[in-house]
Amino acid sequence: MNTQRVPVVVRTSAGDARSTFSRGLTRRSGSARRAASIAFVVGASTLLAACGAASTPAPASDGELSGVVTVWSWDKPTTELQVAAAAFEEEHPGVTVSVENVGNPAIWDKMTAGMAAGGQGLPDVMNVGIDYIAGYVENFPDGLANLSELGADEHAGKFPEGVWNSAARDGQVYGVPFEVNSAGFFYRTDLLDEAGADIEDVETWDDLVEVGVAVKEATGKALLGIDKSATQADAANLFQQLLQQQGQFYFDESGDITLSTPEAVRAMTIIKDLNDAGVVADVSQAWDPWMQSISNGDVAVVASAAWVAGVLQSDLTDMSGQWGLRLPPAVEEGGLTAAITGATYLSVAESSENKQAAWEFVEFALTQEESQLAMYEEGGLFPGLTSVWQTPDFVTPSEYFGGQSPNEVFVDQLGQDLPTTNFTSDYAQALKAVTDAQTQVLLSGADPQAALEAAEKQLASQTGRSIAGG
Amino acid sequence: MTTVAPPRGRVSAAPAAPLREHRGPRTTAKVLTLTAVMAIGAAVVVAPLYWMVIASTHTSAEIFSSPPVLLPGDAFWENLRSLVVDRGFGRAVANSFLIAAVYTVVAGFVCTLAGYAFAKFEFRGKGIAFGLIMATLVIPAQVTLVPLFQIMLWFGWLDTYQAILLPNLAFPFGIFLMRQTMLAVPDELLAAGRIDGCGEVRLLFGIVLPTMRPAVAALAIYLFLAQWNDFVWPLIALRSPDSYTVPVALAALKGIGTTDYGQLLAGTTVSIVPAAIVFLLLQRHFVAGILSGAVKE
Amino acid sequence: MSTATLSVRRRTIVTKNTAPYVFLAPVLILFVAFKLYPYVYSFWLSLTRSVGGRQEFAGAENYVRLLQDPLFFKALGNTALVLLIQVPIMLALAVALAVGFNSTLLRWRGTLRLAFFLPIVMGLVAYGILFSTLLNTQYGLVNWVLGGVGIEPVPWLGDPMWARVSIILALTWHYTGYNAVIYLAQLQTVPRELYEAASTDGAGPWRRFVHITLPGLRPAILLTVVLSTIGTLQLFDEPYVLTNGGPDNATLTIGMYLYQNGFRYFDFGYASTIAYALALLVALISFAQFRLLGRRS
Repeated sequence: MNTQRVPVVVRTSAGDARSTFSRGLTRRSGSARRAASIAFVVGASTLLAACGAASTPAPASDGELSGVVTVWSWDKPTTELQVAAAAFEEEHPGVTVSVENVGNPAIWDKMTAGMAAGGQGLPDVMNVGIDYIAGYVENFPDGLANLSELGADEHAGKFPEGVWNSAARDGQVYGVPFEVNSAGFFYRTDLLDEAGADIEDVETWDDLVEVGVAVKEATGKALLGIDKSATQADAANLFQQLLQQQGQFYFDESGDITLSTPEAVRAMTIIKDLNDAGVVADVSQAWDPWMQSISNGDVAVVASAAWVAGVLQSDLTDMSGQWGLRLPPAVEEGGLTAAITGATYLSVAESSENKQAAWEFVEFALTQEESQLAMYEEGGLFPGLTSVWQTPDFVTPSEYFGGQSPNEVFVDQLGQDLPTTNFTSDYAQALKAVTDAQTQVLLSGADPQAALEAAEKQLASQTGRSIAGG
Repeated sequence: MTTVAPPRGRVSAAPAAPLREHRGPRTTAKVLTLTAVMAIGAAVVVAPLYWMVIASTHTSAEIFSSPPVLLPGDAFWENLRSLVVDRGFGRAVANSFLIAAVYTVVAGFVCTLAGYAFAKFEFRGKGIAFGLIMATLVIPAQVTLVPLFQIMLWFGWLDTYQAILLPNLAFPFGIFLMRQTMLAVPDELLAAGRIDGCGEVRLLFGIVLPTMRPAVAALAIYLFLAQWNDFVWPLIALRSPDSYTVPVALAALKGIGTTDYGQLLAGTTVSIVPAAIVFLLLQRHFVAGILSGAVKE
Repeated sequence: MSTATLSVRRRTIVTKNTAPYVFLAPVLILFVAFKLYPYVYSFWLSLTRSVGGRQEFAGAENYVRLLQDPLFFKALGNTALVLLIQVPIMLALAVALAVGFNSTLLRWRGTLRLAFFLPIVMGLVAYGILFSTLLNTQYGLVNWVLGGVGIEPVPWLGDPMWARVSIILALTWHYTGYNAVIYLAQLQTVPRELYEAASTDGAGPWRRFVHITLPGLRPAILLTVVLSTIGTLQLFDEPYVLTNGGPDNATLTIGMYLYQNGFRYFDFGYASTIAYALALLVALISFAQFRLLGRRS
């Protein structure tokens, strides 16, 4: 099934459906009759699209779905899912999709309690982070529904392999990727010009340290921000990205811990070098301070994920023309310049009484280009559905980035042979151990090797996993 | 609780009027010094709350500007409107108020009964029963969340008010407070009541309780505040946004993306107003209630 | 036994002998329904390990692991630090406040009392929102005020040492007034004649404080020490909303570590083990405090 890419013919008809799709959305408040007729058109188009892909069980063909589908999510994804919910309801008049903004991190406590109580008391559909999903699957067998049984496998090829596999166990999949954190590298063209640095000459992270020093001398600004005190769980995102750029992760493919490999020490040393050069600002990974550091112009570079492109364009309109983007530098010359460092998923509760409708909503929202584009337009989250990355509406040159097309840059990542990342069910503990190690290195000047070895030992005793090669 | 007690002559619960001392220049200086020191302390304590109220009248962008906002802005009504209209915050306030009010009355009743039994009766199993109740103080609540959730599933009570109300009705500190207070009730009073043909129930509600209004007021404050501010359990037990309480609704305002701090702080301000009013109304009784209760040896 | 009681006994089931059981019944029913199962269930969980999502009996395995867990001892150390530094500071401040409030020299008594008590009405969520905004290194009010007197920005939540200071400040802000009210109530039971007699004997303010006020406060001090100890050992709210236990576990408390293991890592067996170890600790320390402080001098 992995090879099943959507045929060209289907993409054309999907394109037709897309325009109808968005019209249907804007007119939703119009007369009922008109809404109904639009719903018919949307339904027909999707049917057409579904027929194009021979083996697809047509979701709209039964047309008998009914009842309520409750979805739990948080701020931005909620608004995106509401777009999909409205369109889904048009297509299935018998179904009401109720998307609830539970808040984050509140959502995790709420879901975990239901999982631990035997998978009861959960909504039909849940938005689950990559740091939770494998843990849920591993620890609570009655929690998430096996989506392979509902026909999810046919969509496998539409998503980055590592992200898809991170929600799978024993070949069965429990979540469909919603948004992904695909590495992105944004820089302030004006500040770099002032420092006389040419970003195109930067091939490796070591080169970047020199640029950072030049920027600091010329402008007094920091090169980039890191959440040194790890106020947030994902404070070590950059470390993880550097590790992934070397084809490695916290765990190897058999699940053994690989936190003190030469590659890991190298990744932490790069971060230490940046910090020792005095070019790292201490910026909390929490949203508001993080945004402030960018809008205030405190940093010359944002080494984060692709979705930053959308945020810059929508939230910091007055900085238009000041930004450029590229893929991150490699760790070693010629190495990978791409990584997928995180993702969220939509999953269905095993206990859902409306499993079929819940699954069809997930399928509707996440596996179709037209849904994903409409959602992207609303919320700007970077979709996991890779074919969207190549559609004309997604890849538009932007004045904001001086005529560069942000998404075209990221599409290049697809061409790189990214190794599959084994996030495992203990990713949350690994994150904690790693962010603590990073804090020790950045705030107390600890030795990267020693800090990582200690983290590795602690992780091993916490999880009962063995240390690779140890 | 106050509905149970028949109206009696007002028990003055205000602290005894301070004795007047000789007025003189030295005394005046002392008055000024002490009052000034206490006022400065009070200003430090109130400053965060003052800033919260001020911040709730500004937009998110203004709140994070430098220098910080120190004077009222004009965004309060807009913040409140978006809270109520877009986020259904009015419903959460109504839910919280209803739950906290019902809880205060019912839990007050339960704690009073238990406190009275422990204070004024000798019976088999007294030590064990008291020990059990005090044991609930030492076991951290986080660990009981999942089994409690299971119980509510069995009863089919998820997303109901009783799921929030029932588990904490037997409030250990409340029972302790009432027991300590009732220890002071003279046994002779009870004996006299019994001789007069007074039943045990009437003895408690007709004779004992009316003498204890301050303790009841103190209990009411504790209970109301505890329920009004309870967060983790309602977060887990309530499912639909229509049944959210104020803290749960506030938590939903925080996401991992942009947070509207004007809205959030307006919600925070609104969230402490009812609790502050309840405290204001009962605080005179409260001081005297503690006096007659918890600190007796 | 008087005839009156006998006639009562014929009419009602609530007699002097059955009354305590009837009065305690609600509490006991609630305990069995909502507490017993969670306690027994979580204790059983502490004796199990999760294998592929199923709980298997593991004996004392979790307890052995606990004794070798450096993070548990780190959490224990952090908690002890708060207990040894914050609790005495807070209680000393509260005594000072109560003495101030009890003085005949104080003016604006009601307003000041309300100001000092107001923080207690604030719940976990509201409190976290407010303080994380105030303590923001770059845009927070606190650093702005400090900047006004020439102090460099303090990384309140971003440095291991300062994060501990922040937790201690926040706790003190929240609970000092609450303890002061308890002391104040106790102080009002100390007869003023004692002070007057001491003054006549030539005792200065300090000697009066040491020889009259402090002994008079003893029961209230015992109560607040025990309550603060229980609250501190179970400390969860402040690190949960302000520091998430960081940086580098500097503010990881036992309550926080328990929560992380259960709700972050889904190891409810180990979380229960931590809970029971904590409960044992709380019980032992509270018992010791009662024995030490409760003794009459």
